[in-house]
Amino acid sequence: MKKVIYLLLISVTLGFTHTSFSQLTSEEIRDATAAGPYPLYVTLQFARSATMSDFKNLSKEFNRISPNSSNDKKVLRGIEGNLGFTINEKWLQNVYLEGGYQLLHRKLKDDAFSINVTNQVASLRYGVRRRIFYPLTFQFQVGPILYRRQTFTLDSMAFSATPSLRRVFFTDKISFKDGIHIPGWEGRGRLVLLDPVGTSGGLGFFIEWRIVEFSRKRSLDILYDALDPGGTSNVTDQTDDMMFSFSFGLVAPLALRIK
Amino acid sequence: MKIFSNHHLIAAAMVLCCLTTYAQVTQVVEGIVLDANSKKALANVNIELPTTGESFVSNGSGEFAFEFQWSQIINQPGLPPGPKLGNSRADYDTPIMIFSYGNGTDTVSISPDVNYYEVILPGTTSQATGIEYAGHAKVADMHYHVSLKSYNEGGVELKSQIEAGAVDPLLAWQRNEKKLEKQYSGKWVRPKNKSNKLYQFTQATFPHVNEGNVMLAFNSISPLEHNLADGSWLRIFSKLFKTNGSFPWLKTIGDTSELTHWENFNNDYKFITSQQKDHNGLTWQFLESGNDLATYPDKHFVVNVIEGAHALQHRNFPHKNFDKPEVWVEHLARRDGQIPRLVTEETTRLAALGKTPKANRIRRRIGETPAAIAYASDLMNQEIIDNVDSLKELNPPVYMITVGHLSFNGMLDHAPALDANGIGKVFIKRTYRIKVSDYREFVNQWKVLFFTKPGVTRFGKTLFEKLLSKDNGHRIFIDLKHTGYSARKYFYDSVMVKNPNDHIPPIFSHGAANGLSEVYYSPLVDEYALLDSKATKVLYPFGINLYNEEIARICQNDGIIGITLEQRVLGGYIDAKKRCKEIFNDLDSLKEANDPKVLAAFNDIKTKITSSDDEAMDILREDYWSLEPFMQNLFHFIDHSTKSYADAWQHFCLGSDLDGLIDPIDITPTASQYPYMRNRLKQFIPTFIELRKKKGHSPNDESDYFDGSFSIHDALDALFYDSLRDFTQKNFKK
Repeated sequence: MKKVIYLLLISVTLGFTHTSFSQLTSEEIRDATAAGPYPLYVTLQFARSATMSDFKNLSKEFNRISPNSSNDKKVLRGIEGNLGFTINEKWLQNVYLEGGYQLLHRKLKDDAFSINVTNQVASLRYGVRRRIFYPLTFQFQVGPILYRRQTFTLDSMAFSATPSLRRVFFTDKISFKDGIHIPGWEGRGRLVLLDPVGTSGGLGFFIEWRIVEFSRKRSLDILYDALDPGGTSNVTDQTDDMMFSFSFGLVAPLALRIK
Repeated sequence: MKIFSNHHLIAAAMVLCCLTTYAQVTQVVEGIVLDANSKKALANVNIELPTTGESFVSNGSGEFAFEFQWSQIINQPGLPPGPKLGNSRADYDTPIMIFSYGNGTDTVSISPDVNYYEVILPGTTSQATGIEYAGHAKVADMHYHVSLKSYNEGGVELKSQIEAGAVDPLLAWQRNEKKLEKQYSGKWVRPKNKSNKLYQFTQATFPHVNEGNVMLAFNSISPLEHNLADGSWLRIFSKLFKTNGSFPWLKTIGDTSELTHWENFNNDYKFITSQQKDHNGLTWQFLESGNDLATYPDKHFVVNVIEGAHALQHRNFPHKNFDKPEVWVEHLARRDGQIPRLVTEETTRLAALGKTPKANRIRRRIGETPAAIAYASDLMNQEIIDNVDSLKELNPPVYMITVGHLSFNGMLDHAPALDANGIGKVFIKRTYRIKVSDYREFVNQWKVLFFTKPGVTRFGKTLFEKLLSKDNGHRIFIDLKHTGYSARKYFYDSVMVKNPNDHIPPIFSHGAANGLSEVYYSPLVDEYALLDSKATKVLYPFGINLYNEEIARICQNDGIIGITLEQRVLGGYIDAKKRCKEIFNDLDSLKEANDPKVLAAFNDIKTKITSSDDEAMDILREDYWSLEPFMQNLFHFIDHSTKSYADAWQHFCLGSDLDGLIDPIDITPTASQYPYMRNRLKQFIPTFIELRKKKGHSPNDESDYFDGSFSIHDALDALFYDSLRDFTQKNFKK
C-alpha cells in the first residue's frame, strides 16, 4: 500500500514539476506578444463636491427644525464612472471622447427623520491629452451636460407632507425640441500618473478637478414647504448653478481592439 | 633605503641559521606571514618558510633580510596538486604578507617595528588577529569600473581639475562604505539595500583590487550619456532611478555645448591615467600588450576599455535624435549658426529673414535636401574615423569597446537596459509599453532610451571597420554587450567571419543568459510580459542577455563571455520569495540528511565566522541563495556552449560590472569578496548540480562536468582568471 501511495505522490509531483530544458510552448509565449494600443478605456473614481450652498442652506434649515441634530454638512460625496475612446489617427492622437455618470449623495439625519440628497449628472466631453513627462500626463476636457437630476428624499412620517411631496426632484436633460437645450457645461483637468491609454495595458491613477455650470436654477420652495409646512421658515432658495468637485480614481484600458 | 648595521646583519644571520636548521622542506607553501604589532604594510623581505604553524620572533629593530625558499607542495585536502606560480604581496590594510605557493624565491623586506610573524595555512584563521586567509587565487575581471564613481562624484569640480592638470592622484584609492554592512567582525559583508548608486559604497577601487587579488582588471570608461540628462525631467529621472548624480554635473552632461561625449571620455581617461600606481602595498600598471601577462605573471594589470561608442561623438555628431537625417543638418546649423553647404544667395536671403517662422520653415526645407543631409552624414562619419584613429594613439592603449550602451547612439541598435525596483519598476514598465502606442509625443520622449532602430547604420559599419582594422593602429575589439540582437547578428554574420584568415573573436564582456532560443526574438515582444509569464523560470528573459544559439556561436568562434554579478540581469529578482523559500527548504533537508557537501560548508562557516549552529545555517542559506542565480547562468552557459565541458570553461570569465551602478549579488558586494565568493562556489557547485537534477531542470550530474582530469578547482581557476588571461594574451597585441 505504501508503495502505491509513494508512486501516486511521485506521479503527482512530476506532473507539477517545471522542466526548463523543454521548448517553450506557443501558449507560454503568446501572452508575451505586444498587444494594443487599446483605444477604449474606463475610469472609476471617488468624487467629492466643494461646498454647495443649496445643500449648506438645507443643512442649516434642517438643524433649525430638528434641534437635536447637529449636521454640519456642506459637501456631497459619491462615485463616478466614465467610458472613453481615444482617436488614434496621426493628427488627432491626443484627442479623445469621454462620457460618464456621476452620482453624489449625502444624508442629513436626525433621530426621527432624514433627508437624502442625491445629485446625478451625466455628461459627454471632448478631451485633449498632453504629456508633462510620460507617464505623467495632463488632460483637459470640456463638454455638455446631457442629464441632470437632483433629488431630495424626506424620510419620515413625522413630516406632515403628503406622500406626493416626500420626494422632491428636479430633472434637466438635453433636448432638441423647440431649439437646443443643454442642461449645462462642464470643464475638467485631470492629472494622470502611469497613463495606460494607448499603450499595451495597465492601470493608471489620476486626480481630477471639475467645474460644472448648470443652465437652469430651480426653486427649492417646495422642498422647504415640505420640510416645515406652515412653519416659520422663510428660506427662499434655489439650486446652485455652479458645482465644483474633486475626485481621484483609476483608469484602465479595455482589451478590445478596434481595427 | 635603509643601510644595515653590523648588529642587524649578525642578528639576521643568527635568525637565518636558526631557521635554516629548524625549517622543514616538505611543507605546503601557501600561507600568510602576519605582523601582529606593526600597522605598516610589509614589503621586500626574504624569508625562509618555517614549519607550518611555527612562529618566529625578530629582534624588533632594523631591517632583516631572509632567504626565502619555496618548499615543495604536498597534497593536502582542498589544495590542487602540482606547483603553480603565485606572488607575494603586502595587504594594504592589515600588515599581512601573503605568499602563494610556487617554485622560486621571493624577497620581502620588513619594517623596523616588526617583531612577530606567524605562518597560516589557507582556510584557517590567524591566532593573532582572527583574519582568515582564504587562499590566493588570482582574479581577472572583464568589466570593472575603477574610475566611474570617483570621476562622476567629482563632477564639475573634478572636470576643472582635470582640465588644469591638478587631479588628486589618490582619488581612485578612496573607499566609501556607506550602506555596506559588515557582520561577524567583518567576516560576512552584505549590502544594506537593493541598489548601488553614486555616493554609496564603492565596489571596484584600487583597495578592492588588492583585497580581491584582481590581477587583471578591465577598467571600463563609460561617459555618462547625454540622453540621461537632457532636460530637467530626465535629470530627475536619472538621479532617482539610475545615477544619483549631482544636478550640476547632470546639467553639464546634458549640455553638449559644455561637454561632448568625446571630451567627457578624454577627461575620464586623463583621470585614470593620473592615478597613483603604487600605494599601500599595491603596485599596478596599465597593460601595454597581452604579452605582459606572460612576462610579469605576478603583477596587477589594468586594461583600459570603453563602454559605449557614444564616447566617440564630438562636435559633428548629434548626441540625440539620430533617426531623422534632417536632425543631423539641424545640429550642424545650430552649432555653426548656418546650414551647411548653402549657396550664397540662399544664405543671404535667410540672413535677411532672420529667425521668423517663415525663415525657419525655409531652413527646415533646405535642411531636408539630399545634399545637406549627405554633407552632414559625411562629417559625422569622418568624426567617427578621426576619433577611432585618436583612440588607437592613446598610451596606455585602449583594447576593447562596448559599442552599445544605455541609449541609441545612432550607430547600432542597443538592448534597453534600464530597469528598477519597486515603484521605479512600475514606472519603467509602463514607459516600455508605449512601444505599441501611437502617441507620438510619448514615444518621442522615450525612444532614445527604450526603443531603438534595429540593425547597424552607416556610422556603425564605419565604426566596426575602423576599430577592427590594423591599418590605422592596433586592433580594438568589439564587445557586444548592450548591443541589440539585430546588431549582434550583423556582427556574427558579416564581421566575425568576413575574412577567413583573420577571425574576429566575439566578446560579451558582462552578461547573462536569457534562456530563450533566438527564434523568439522580436521587437514586438513585450519583454516585461515575458518576465511575468510562465515562460520565465529563473533566467532574465530580455534581449540584453544572450540567446542560447549565441552562446554556442561565441564558444565555437574562440570568443569569451564575462558573467556579470548584477542580480537583476542574472534573474535574481524572478520569483525571488518563492525560489528563496524552496532553496532554504532544500538546504535544510540536505543538512538534516547529513549531506557531506552541505555539512562541509556548514562546518567551514562555523570555523571561520560563527560558532552558533543557527547563525551558521542562516549564513549558509543566505550565501547559497545569493549565489544561486550566478550558478544558474554559469551552468546554462556551460550546457549550451556545445563544447566538451572542460573546454567550455575556457570561454567564460568574470565580468562583474562592479561600480557600474548595479546591484550585485549579495555575497559579492565589492571585489574584496572575490576570495569568499570563490570559496563558496567551490562548496556549493556540487549541491547546485544535484538539486538541479533532482528537480528535473537538467539531466546532468556532477560527473558529467568534473572528473579526475578536470576538477571544480580547475573550472574555477579558468572562470576566475585563466580564461581571460589566455584570451588577453592571445588577442590584445600592438
